[in-house]
Amino acid sequence: MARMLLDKAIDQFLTLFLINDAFCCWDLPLLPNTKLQKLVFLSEKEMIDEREKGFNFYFIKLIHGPFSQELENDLGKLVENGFIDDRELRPTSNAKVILDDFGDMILRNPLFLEKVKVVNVQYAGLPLQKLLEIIYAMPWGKRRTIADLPQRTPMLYPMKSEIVRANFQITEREAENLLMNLDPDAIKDLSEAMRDAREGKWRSYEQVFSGV
Amino acid sequence: MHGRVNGGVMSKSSQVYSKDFTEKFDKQLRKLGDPTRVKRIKQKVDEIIDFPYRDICFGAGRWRGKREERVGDDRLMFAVCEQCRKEKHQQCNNCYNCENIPNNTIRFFETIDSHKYNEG
Repeated sequence: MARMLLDKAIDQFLTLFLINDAFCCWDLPLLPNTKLQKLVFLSEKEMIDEREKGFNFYFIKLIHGPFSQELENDLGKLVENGFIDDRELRPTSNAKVILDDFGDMILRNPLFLEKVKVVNVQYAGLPLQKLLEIIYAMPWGKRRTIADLPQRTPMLYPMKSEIVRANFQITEREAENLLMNLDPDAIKDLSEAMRDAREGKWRSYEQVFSGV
Repeated sequence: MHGRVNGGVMSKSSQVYSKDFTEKFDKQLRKLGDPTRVKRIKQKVDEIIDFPYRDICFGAGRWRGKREERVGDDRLMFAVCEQCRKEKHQQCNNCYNCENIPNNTIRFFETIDSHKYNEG
């Protein structure tokens, strides 16, 4: 099932929150992409186990364990939009502004964000190899572990709405504002407007609305 | 935090506000190619100039420091100079020659088509 726009906004926000929290929790020199994939997987699993609809990424088993192509794509967007650093995956000042400006949403969703925090406290500081070993050894299905699963086995996917017990609380306006902040075209337009303001390129009312 | 600060009571401001628009705003309006939509935006601009402290709603994230008002799916992003100074938003808006711009100025930065950010 394809993610809805709202799901994408929530996924990118929660990913940003998780990355920022991991760096706050631990003195990490960097956050490897593979480790991030596992941290998001563990957080999403915790939520799905409680039938809480927070993260909506589709995870499959690959050679290094659970992997989501959607998360990989979203990470690319977060880098492209200047929210995380390309090499270390460290949150930028733009990310801090987003987390600050959407602080109400963080306060409104402790159920989801506490799960992310707990995962970070338990796992974000571990060496990647150790984290992978823990994940491979996790039970999955009947008498199996994640290591036993065949490649490309679907592992996590968005829940059907009828089984969801709690949804991430976000207003329509917050979702729109988030999506705007995550849209490269909107950011480009804003940058051009800001450049005009910075360089004093202004038009009068008459110039703009002549003939209207 | 962002959001609606004050519902406000509609009373025409005793102050007369001057207004200007970035070149980007001008280009965006021309690009619309929809006279009805442009007319509605003009009406909204006129309302903002008459009642600048009505329905105060600030943008978030990269739009921090800018006010917004909606006309249908279009959002107008602007700043009232006296409010920008009072709220210490100058760094966000970063206008050229800010110190020489009178308080009673309203600066319109851009329009945003919000249509693609909602699923209807």
